[in-house]
Amino acid sequence: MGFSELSLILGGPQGSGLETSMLVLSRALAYRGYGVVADREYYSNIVGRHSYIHMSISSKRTPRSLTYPVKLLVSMDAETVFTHFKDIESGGVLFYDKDVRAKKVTEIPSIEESLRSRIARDLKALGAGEDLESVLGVLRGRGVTTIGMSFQEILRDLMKTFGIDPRSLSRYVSGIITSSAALLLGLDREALKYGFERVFAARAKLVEQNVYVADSVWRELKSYEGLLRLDYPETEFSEVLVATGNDVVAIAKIVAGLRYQSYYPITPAADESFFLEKYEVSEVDGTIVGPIVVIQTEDEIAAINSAIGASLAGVRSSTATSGPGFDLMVEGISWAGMNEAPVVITYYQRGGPSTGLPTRGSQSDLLSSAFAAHGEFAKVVLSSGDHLDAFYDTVLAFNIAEKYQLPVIHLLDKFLANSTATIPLPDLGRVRIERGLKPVPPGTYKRFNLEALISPRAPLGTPGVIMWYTGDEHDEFGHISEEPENRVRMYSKRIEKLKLVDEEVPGDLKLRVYGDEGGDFCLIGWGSVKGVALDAVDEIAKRGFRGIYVDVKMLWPFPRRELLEVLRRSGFGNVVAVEHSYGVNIADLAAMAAGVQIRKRIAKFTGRPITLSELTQALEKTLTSDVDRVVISYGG
Amino acid sequence: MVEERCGNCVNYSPHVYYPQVGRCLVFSTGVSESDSCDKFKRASIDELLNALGGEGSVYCTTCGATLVDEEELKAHSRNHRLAIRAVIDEAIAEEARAD
Ligand SMILES: [Zn+2]
Repeated sequence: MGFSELSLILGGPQGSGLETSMLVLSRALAYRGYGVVADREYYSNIVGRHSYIHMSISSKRTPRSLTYPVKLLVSMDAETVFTHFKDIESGGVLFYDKDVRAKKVTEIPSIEESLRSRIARDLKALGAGEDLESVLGVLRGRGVTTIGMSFQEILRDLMKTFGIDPRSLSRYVSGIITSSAALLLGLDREALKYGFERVFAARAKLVEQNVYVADSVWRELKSYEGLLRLDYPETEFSEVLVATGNDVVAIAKIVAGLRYQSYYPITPAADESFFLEKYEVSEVDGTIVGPIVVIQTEDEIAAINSAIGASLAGVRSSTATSGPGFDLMVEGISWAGMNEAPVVITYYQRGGPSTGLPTRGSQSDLLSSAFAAHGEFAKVVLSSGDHLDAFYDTVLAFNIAEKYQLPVIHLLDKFLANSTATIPLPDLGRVRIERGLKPVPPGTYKRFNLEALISPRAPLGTPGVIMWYTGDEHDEFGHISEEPENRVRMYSKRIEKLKLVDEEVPGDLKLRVYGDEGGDFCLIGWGSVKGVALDAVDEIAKRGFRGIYVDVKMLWPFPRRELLEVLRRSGFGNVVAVEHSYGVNIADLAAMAAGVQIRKRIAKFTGRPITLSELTQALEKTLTSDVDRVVISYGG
Repeated sequence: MVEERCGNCVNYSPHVYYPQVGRCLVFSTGVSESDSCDKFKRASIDELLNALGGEGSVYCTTCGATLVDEEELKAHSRNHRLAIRAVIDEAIAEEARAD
């Protein structure tokens, strides 16, 4: 019997090939039919700082959450062991570089001073010395198997055998760590080779050399093969996507018929635009589809305004950004609201305020998105719980934007953006492109015709059609007007479109309930907490608490009726909200929009993902005590 | 007497993350710190000061830091391993993030 679920950490210096390792291992696992989700934690702009990949693997499905402790820690350097040794469960395994055994925690310059003294204190409390060898002793005492290899010997051999330039060594260190992980998990070398081939693609030499590394690792660690063997995969994957959240959204934008994307580079949004740049011109069965114009503008003000311009010209357009960039876009969003311009803003939240934690996640921009921009006008905010949801929701965002002629904010976050997962292929049969285009009526064209809430939208340049756009209040033609009666009608039209959205968008796309109703509690959240929330609901059922998870997908207009209906059915008892923020602001939004009081709140704002172990514990605490607010903070 | 191996040679340029391996500045090849050859030249303070004058900086392997003046060099040289320069890994550029 092996493991049906297993969690591991790969750690090393930022910029040392860790991302490559994650990609190789994920693809090798997917190739053999395992489900994988892997979160990437890294420092901003500081090369050499400790970064790590936290991965969950399952033989049954795509895992939905990350958890501690882990079964396996694969370290590229001493700092990784010092930082994570407490995360390895007893019976687990540590793989490390033998050459750094003498390294002391006090000798590692890249560790932040406060963390270094905390680790030194912990080691002292355990009666251990400050060097790596002592930590190995502590781990062995806890029943952890420690497996060392000399990286120096392998790298030296590679340099001599292939004449490799030392500048490219990290590509082979990633070979060492992926090979050792694969060996321990009982993956075969063919699967591993497939991983190398997919990641190094055209660079055949790199594949060959990494296979050589794998052979060396296999020779030396033969006796440990399958020490943490995974169960034979039972997933029903025939084909899966192995992709990040950024990738999935980009793919969905192509499917949705995107023709213009603007961006100013910002973490963690830029990768989406980089992906789209690769497919500016796509060929399907010999026919060129597209093209998509992707423009890197001088700033986010230009990004939103050029996307609005493309929208006025009649194409599907969007921009992607994060908090600091979004703040610059809000005047443009207000202009889009005034001019009823459909545009999609894909907003990947990260830790704020200001530059904050550029490479860490958060959900602290909920209220800022729902209430962004001056003046009153219709605007829609959508969120997505996981990679697959993000695919369908991206298409939905364009459909809503065009049908109702308004800006749509698709509110995602770094956790989704930067995590890689095995994703079942989206069902394209479910995808509908609804542009909401109405024929332009004969006669004099009125862009802002008041006969209906949604006026016929003609693209700029339509022959024989004239229209005017201005930031000022305007009449039906678009001419500036300050006349009070027109003001009232035009103002109301722009807002009342929200009622249509509220009435016409199916409830299932606004709010989704998971689990059997009629239980003991209702956990409510939105966005990327979905996976861990679902797992926590399952986990806590084993402790005797039955409950549901309510995933609020449409954040604005808030699905008031739908939420009240769910809460009414569950008797309004024991409602707990969870969010990556200080305030757990979804509770306040629900209070404002639906008049419900949610006192119990679970908050995390370290920028690190909420893990299953801590959420289950926090949930249990809110259910079994008078404690209303639990702040969780696990993870380095 | 300093052991005559690459790790102690002034012409050894350590890899920025894995200083046990690096480049020989004489032969321009990959070597490990435990290798040796007959061109060994100890990384003495004079050699390093010389390099500082020529290159404008030297590298402290222990601290992972670039040193740019004599005072600094002398302070680090007491207990730290110094080199003329480090080998910067090419993956750094690929993984460094914009913000
Ligand atoms: Zn130093």
